[in-house]
Amino acid sequence: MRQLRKSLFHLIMVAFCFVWIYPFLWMLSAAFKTDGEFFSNGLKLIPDRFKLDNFKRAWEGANFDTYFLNSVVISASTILLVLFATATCGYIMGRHSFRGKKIVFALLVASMFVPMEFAIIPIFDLIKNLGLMNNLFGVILAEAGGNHIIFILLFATFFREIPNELEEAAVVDGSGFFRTFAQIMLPLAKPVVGSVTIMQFIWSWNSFMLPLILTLSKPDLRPLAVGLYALQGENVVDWTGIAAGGAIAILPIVVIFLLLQRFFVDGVAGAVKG
Amino acid sequence: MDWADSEKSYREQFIKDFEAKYPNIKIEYTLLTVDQFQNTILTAIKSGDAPDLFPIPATMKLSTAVKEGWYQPLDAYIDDAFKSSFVDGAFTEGTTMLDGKVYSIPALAGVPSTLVFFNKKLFQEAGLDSNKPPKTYSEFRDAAKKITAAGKGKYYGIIEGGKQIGRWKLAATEWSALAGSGFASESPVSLKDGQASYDSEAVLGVFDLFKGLKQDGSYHPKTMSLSAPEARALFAEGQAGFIVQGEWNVGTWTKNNPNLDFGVMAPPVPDAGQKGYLPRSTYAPWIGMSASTKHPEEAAIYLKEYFSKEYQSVLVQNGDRFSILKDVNESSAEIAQFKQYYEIVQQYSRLVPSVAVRNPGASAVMASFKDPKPGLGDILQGVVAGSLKDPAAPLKQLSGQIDKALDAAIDQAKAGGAKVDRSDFSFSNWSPDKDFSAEDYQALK
Amino acid sequence: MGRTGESKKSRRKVQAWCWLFLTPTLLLFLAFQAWPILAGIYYAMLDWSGLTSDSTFVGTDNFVSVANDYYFWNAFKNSFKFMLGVVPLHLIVPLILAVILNRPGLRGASFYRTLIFLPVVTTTSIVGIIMVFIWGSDGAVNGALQSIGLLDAPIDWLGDPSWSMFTVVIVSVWKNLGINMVYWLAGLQSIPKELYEAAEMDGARGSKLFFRITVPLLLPIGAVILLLNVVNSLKAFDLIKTMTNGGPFFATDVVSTYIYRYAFSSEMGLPQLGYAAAAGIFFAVTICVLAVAQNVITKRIKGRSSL
Repeated sequence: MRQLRKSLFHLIMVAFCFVWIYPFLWMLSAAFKTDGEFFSNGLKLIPDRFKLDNFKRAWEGANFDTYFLNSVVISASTILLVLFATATCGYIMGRHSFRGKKIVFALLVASMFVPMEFAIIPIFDLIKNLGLMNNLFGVILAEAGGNHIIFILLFATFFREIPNELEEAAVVDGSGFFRTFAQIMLPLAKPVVGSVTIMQFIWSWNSFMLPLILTLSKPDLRPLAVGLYALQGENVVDWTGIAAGGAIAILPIVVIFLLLQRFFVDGVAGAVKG
Repeated sequence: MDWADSEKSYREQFIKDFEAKYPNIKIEYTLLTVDQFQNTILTAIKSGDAPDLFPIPATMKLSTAVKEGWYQPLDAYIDDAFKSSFVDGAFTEGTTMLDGKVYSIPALAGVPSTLVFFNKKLFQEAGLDSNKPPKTYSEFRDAAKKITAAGKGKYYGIIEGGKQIGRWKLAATEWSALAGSGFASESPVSLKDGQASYDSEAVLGVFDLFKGLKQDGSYHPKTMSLSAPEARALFAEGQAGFIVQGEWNVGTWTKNNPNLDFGVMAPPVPDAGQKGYLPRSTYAPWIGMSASTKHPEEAAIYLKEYFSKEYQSVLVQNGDRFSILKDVNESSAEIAQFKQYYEIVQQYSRLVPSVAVRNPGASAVMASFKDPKPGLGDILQGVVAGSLKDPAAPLKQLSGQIDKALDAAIDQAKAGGAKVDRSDFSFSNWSPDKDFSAEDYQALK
Repeated sequence: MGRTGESKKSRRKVQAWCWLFLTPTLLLFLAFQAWPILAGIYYAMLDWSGLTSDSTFVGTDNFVSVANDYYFWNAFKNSFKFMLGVVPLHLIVPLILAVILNRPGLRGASFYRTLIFLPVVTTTSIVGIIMVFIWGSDGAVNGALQSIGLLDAPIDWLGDPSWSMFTVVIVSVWKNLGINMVYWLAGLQSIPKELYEAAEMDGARGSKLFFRITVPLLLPIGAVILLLNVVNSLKAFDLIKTMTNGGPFFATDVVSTYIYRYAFSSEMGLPQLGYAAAAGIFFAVTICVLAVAQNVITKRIKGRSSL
């Protein structure tokens, strides 16, 4: 009986997942289709003939070989920077009180609601005045400057839940403020680190406008997303090329997700004595 | 940097050849969509990172860009032989020239892009004669209805890129001009009398036609969720009998959809007959040389090669566009539908007067003109989507708003020192059946 | 965080550490959030296209025009409609999935998690097209609904103004559900296993366990996820832009597409960046006022404050 219920559960889950990722599969199959088939073959998943031209075109059109490394450098540095800033801030927001906390908090939250469609010009001016135009560091800084109050809140909520005993024990052992944070607290926050990393990775990996504007006269510094956008024109759109490029470009995200999965299931919380 | 993407494959070859021919020049070419371009260009110019050559945003006037210090005169780099290879009127004070200096070169011969393409095979299946495509609104509606009926859900009368407001607006403007509205894309008011008469009979007629097509169920049901390139691809798959589009499709379809048997026809006219012509505008400025370029000589060589007969005829041959160069269109067009498109354009369109040519000061007006929204395109989209049952009221409202917006813009331009008047926007000596000539401009003075 | 036994000196030291820990965030915030927002407030008081260097100071004129524009309020309303449609689904469905997939010893959990996550990374522009097929009149959704007899005639999900918002909401939920599941999973990790064990020993099972232990302990992180989704859905842009571009006839026009239209595209005159900035600021201020008002009211009702 139990076995039957289990099988039934898996059956339902597999069916649900298939429907769920159907559009994703369709994108994969579109990467092998011809442009004509893309529209005529409608919802069918299996292409008439597996064509690799799209991948070749996307690879060249989006300058994958040069841009890939840029993307990795930009995303990785941005994630580190964001993790550092949000974890430290989240830690004190969650576990300490200090003068001005409420004001800082209110400012951060309120700024979150402002649509930033017009923000590109001031950010550009700033980077230019810092002398960081056409410099990977400028791109990284600007990318890391997005609104991260959510990450801060995630860290803050998580840290607040951690029982005081743990920290007090550390303090008794002579651990200073920073060591308590880095060696005791941060390792406990693995699930949050994992979700922040994934979220920030997706964001930086796909970010397009900022890197483009900050590397206008140094195309060698552009990330992949800028290259991919070149496939999407005003009047003519290379759909199968986009599908192929998209398929290659999301591979790293999926890999990262698979790797970080452990962070969510490893029973980190078990270390916290209730 | 530009947004001429249908040209992409030819351009890539061109750049390869160019770099082979001039090994010490390296070209960095960035293709963007119009929105992205607008988003980028100002920051590029401000940071001194402007590309050596870049086009002017479509809604901007040359005088504004020059005043901003974007471009430098090209006269030092181009000779008379180069200039004379272009069609007459390509270099005109007020559009591509300012104070006697050339600042910009038009991209292409500006022809109307709202002709109607039709699928010959579907015509046959619906019992229509593809040698006699519909001419009037009623015939057009009827033909679309028949095709829809014959399609039994497999194909429909007409398909459009319904998400793209710009396409709806263009259709409304140009088709109504054919019915005598006197509108052209360049000016917010009728060139005939300077009135913002968006609720005139000519305009309402077009709206009624589209409304009728919708009521008949002739629109492909996906119309509203498509962009123009998607609609075009579905047309090429034989899913609709008609599509309103421009010449560049000919090249794309011929290349990608060899099985598509399509024809091209003039837009339909009111049942009472044709009352005007499709507006063909004075050549719009396109590419210019950055004022801050460090490679003017090299950029000039690029322009020369780009506007050479060799490259331009490649574009014409492949059905990508009509060239701005003399004779190239006549001598190089090979694809039948492309030639036919050209003939229809010659027959159904006329050069309309330009406010900017008449009074270069008027461009200051357009620089401070604020589009009222919902605009003409929005309203037509609303009608076809079924959100607006009766277009007359919103059109009337739009007329009033445009009228006010134009007056406000004129006042603002005057305050800024421009010598301009509302009367600059109407051309009393214009007869729509004739090209508006240099002499006509003279006569107005 | 009342901590006893701290001397004045060490308390001051802790204060210093706090500000040190705050510095990276504050610096980034001042440079890339506060400064652009201040610039935006300034732009909002200009009559400026964003393309040219000449601009006129017009004070609050832009704000007045925004407040008087019917289509701004239409977009405002749509933004909230979208938010109200998306947020509950983004909270409840991923929570259930996360709880199921977090069960220890469940075979294939990691496999399912990955599959559910995949839409998050699917390219938006491709999603736009495939959804046209899936939700089209002859698409899979209509086919399925008709075959089980729920529909007599196909619905034009995206093209019909009365259904397009619904469709956009569903697609958005599909696309972003995976990331919310990740947040919930992270939240579930903060619940000590011992609590479950203790409750199980008390005889609690299944849904009882869920409502007695999981839900209350997830409330703090749930509040964060709620806030995140409220903000993100009010600012949603990409998917709406690709799927409907705000149409048909403003049926799915939200504030971000409204702003974009004024800031970067124009039919005849130049774009109006100043006006667009005013619309953005106006929107943000209105939401903040609503948020504060709501907060005050709940506090009054509850009679106590949190955080």
